[in-house]
Amino acid sequence: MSDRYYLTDPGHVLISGATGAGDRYGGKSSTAHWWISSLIDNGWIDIAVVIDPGSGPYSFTKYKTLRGMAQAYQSGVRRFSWQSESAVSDVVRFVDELPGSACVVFDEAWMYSDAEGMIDVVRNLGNQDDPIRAIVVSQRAWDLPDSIRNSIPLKVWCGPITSEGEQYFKSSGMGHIPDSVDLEPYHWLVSDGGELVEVNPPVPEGFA
Amino acid sequence: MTDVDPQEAARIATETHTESEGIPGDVSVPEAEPDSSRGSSVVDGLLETDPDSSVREYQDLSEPAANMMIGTVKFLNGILGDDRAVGGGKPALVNFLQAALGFVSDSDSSSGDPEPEPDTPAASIGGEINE
Repeated sequence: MSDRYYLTDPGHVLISGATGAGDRYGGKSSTAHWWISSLIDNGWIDIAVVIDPGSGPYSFTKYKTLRGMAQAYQSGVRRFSWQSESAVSDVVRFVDELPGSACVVFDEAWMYSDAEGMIDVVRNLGNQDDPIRAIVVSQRAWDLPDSIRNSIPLKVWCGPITSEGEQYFKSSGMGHIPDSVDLEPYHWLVSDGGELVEVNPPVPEGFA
Repeated sequence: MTDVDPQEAARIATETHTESEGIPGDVSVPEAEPDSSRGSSVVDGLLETDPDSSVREYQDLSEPAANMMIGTVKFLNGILGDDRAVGGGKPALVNFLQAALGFVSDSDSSSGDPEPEPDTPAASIGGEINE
């Protein structure tokens, strides 16, 4: 097993942080983009879907209809971008009906935090035979409901840690992390179950 | 609410016959490959091991063909039992199917997401997956 077990484990991921898209490197969305691309490039998952209402950096083909996604799937496409915060639950149900494992990036998740589909992935669909892994991206993790945050022990923070972020760490019982880490911009720290795992360098620029 | 029920969409996605109807209402953007200069050690960590079924196992095929190959192998393993772990190699049938898909890969490997013709071996194999 790689020492970076969390990259390929099926556990869900919550990515937060104060940084936006940058000129040299991206932040949260770029990290999610690199992550899901690496998973499907290397065959760890069969289907990659991005819910991207905020026009993130994702290079996946964009779709507005389920029929379009279905026809594309039939012709061999396995990477999809859904550019709306509406019908998220329908997209999840569609993916769940397909054979094979999947990963769904829920970017700007705060915009549709009450979507049953996202909650269902986080709470239920990661544990089935053909699991769906969630990478939830939200600038402020505390904007998401407890039911989502508490179901994702693996949390990523893209640097730097702002004073607002520091408060979040402290209120989440992880106050020791900002005290011990000086996180540079675009570097990302990984915590699991409230414990710091490691700090990683920025993802490659091509994913920003 | 979407244009079609998710279950109906999944049925369309996995049905055996491909119609060239186009994708009305969709914005098709060519799939750009990210920068290949992966200098980060994080990437190296991810690439240390490969899962059992990986598109990298079928590097001579286009990605859609490799995906179909993986699906076919999973399907066959479900019926026949996975003899790869026991035998230490691909079953002869898998090699045959890979050779068949190689034809498709050779013919349309330049396109990003090629759509198999209904009468090609790829389409018929893809049909078997979902029957």
